Amino acid sequence: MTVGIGPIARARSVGGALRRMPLIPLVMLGTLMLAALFAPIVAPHPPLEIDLSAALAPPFYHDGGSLDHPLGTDRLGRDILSRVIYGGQVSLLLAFSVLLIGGSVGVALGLVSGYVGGALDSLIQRAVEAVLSLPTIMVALVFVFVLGQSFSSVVLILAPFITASFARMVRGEALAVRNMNYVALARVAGASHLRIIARHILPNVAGTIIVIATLEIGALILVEASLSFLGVGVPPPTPAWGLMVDDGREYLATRYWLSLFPGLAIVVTVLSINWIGDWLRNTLDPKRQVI
Amino acid sequence: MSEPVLEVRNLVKYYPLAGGPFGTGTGIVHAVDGVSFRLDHGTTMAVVGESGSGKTTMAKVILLLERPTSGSIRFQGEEITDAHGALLREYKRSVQAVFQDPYSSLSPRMRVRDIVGEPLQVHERLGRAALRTRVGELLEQVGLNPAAASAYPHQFSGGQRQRIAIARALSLNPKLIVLDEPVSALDVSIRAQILNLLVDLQRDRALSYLLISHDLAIVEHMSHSVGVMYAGQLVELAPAERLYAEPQHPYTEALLAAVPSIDPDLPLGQIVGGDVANPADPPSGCRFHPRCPLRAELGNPEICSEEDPAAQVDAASHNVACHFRGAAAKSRAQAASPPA
Amino acid sequence: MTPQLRALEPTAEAGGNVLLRVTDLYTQIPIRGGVVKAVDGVSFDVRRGEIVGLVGESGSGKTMTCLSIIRLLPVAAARTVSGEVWFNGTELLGASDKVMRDVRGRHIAMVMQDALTALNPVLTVGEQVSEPLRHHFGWSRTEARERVLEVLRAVRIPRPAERLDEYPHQFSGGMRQRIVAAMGLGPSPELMLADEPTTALDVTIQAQFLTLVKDLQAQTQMSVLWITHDLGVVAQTCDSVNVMYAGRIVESGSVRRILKQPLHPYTRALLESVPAIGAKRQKLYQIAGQPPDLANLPPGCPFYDRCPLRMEICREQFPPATPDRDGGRVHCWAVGGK
Repeated sequence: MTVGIGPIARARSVGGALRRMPLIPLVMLGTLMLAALFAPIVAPHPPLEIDLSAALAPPFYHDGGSLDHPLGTDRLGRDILSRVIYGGQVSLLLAFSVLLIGGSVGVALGLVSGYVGGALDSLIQRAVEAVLSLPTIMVALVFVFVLGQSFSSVVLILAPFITASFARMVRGEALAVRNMNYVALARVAGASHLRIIARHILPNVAGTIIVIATLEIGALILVEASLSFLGVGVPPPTPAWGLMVDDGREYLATRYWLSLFPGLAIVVTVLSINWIGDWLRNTLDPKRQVI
Repeated sequence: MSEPVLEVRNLVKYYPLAGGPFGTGTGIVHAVDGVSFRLDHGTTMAVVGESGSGKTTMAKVILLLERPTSGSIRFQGEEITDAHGALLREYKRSVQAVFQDPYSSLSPRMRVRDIVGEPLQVHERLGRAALRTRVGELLEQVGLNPAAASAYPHQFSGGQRQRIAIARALSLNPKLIVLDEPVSALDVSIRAQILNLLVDLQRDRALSYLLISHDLAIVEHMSHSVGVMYAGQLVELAPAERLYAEPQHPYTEALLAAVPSIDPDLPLGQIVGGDVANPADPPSGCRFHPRCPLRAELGNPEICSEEDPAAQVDAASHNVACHFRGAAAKSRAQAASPPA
Repeated sequence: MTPQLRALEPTAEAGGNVLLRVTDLYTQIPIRGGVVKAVDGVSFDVRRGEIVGLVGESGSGKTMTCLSIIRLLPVAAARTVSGEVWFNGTELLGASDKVMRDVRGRHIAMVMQDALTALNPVLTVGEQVSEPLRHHFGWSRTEARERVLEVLRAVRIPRPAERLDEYPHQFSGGMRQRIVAAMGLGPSPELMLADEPTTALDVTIQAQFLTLVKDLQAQTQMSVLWITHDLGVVAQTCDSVNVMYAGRIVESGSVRRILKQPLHPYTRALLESVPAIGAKRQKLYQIAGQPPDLANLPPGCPFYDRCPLRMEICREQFPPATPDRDGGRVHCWAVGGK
């Protein structure tokens, strides 16, 4: 009576799925990230190099522009292209740091909240709701004044918002997974709570985590840009996109390139990230599994 | 007389009803309300009932997924109702489960080998190679190709997943497996495969099964003894042949009469009206009394709505929670062979 | 004792005795790299006043057939690629949307498996049962009320006048299913499509529902296409039955003939593998193999892999119909077909 049957469907390959990622945002984002990563090699000039003789030079396609400063210079003669590239470093580094620190705490809180339930869950969720109801930028403003302006203080200020966001979403998913039969069966088998969270809940929540993370990076970049635009982000002279946009404000009518190119960098980055994030969410959605 | 593998006495599980602005309960759900039975070694006892009967809750309590509100559970003679620590671990080694839904019973992100091997990993410290061998053996025993170990659940059909779930349940050589509607979610043509597998495994390994089901035909096929639950209580408990041949409780009769027979010349029996009793607000006295055709036949005696007939704890004979126990059978017998 | 249900506006009998005729229906679901042949050449009739069963397991195509008939296939997911559906003198597959909207609910009603999702939780039962009546006949809420009460009484909802203004969650599962049936029955449809209406119900509640449907059907002479996987339900309710496998009908005939003298190996295997009360066996008959992969069907008979009577020709060609004695048919090379 041996049936000896094997699986009836092929394994879903991660490689196959990745090969179907949307190309455009991947290329745009990839270019920016690689440039930021290899900034010292790619950027034509050091970002802080002042050259007053070349101040406010236009991009190469205008009269008076040159390929030496392809995207022009700012009022201190600093090369815009180089500063955009290095600014990418700052933005991306900031975003990832906040995501890592805030995200890991948020995921942990969400898992505990969803799995344990009860009073602890209520407590955590109330705290989360409180944080999420705060206007991010304004709170950040206040805390920067308190903590002083620096890279690490911005990270510390933004992290709690990410924590709250993750805690809320992960908790919902953890709750759903906790009610699944396979969790009950793990308990029947005698698995410890830790084992259940680590081996059953977390892997099945991972999809959601990845999607949120992707989308939050975009949001973080925007927030950072807004903060530095307002002058409370990463302190000058470190190039930061938002700061650069603010710098160029008074020249918008005449020398648009000071604000345009960093602004474009922000838009392209956030757009690409959101595009990929949306695609990821659609791909990982279990309801899309074909018959 | 050897010890039963499982003995349950006056098992009770109540849930508070959440209500009111501060969650203060306004009522209690009598999910399981005083159930007693014994399960003998190497046999299958089935618990049948409809929704609200409490059979699934009872299964959860016996698995110690939830603790009973009161009552006692003895496993192989030992009291495990409040088991903790080492005793609980021992219990978990010996009692496993297979649930109804093959799709949510397997974690989608784990490979089959990790799913089937999990109980082993929790209770024993096996090396990787030893684990693989063991998992391969288990897969073969349930009729699957050992190569399936490296695959993921989504690559398998419902019937195959249920085999994986059974392999996992067997991994620690348990004494008792709780089967909660093991084939209800499967296609009809696959059910026979799984049922035959379960019966073979029982015979080969002297396994005991607690079978929870609403399907009376499957129950008759597999079980040695049957308990019928209604609104949290066991209304009849008997060896399988007796229950099907001569049901004593009006609800059992109603259940059997309601099963549509494949023979078109055998119409449905007497249909009992009304809805299943609400365990949060059960009728007074005998919980079946509002729907009971026997009570109507006997002219609505008051005892039915006033006193709750308790089934005696005596698994050897035929237990019936009915004030007029046997009356139904008697009138049937009289109708079948009128006095000369 | 059975509450009476009048028929509204009896429509003229077009097309004689046969109310519904499905011919060569093909419905497909496009997937990456191919097509799933959900309905693969289905033909059958439903006569007036007849209860016809459509029996099969998951993937047999029974639900898709039903949805194709009234053109409620999930948009962009499935398409009926060819076939004809004649209903009461009108061809449905080629009909305009306007005609379909008129047919659906008024002439063809549908009762689905899960009453809980078929009913809108924020509308009262009265509103929902009266909706098809108001839509198709233009009645106002008050005008429809009498008919609503009549139909609720017919499906044995106790105290309907009081319960008209209650919400679905205030009813039990069995009653909700009856309310859904009431919604369908209100406009006196000629045909009711019932897709596994009792599968989710408890067995005693199912028995009530089956009895109710049979009584009402006898009264109104409505035709019913009953879709199920439960052969017991078929035996107790249907007059004739079509057995489906992998998108095709493999056998059809009167209920008595099919259940007592099944001809197709699949039908026989199914009947033998289902445990029946009182017919206890040592070991249940096991159908070998797995349900077919609808995206990769062989050219011949889809049951080939699992069939104990299979022959070479079965793999290459789907067998044509071999008629039985009472107007049914079977598609099997090993049975009659050469």
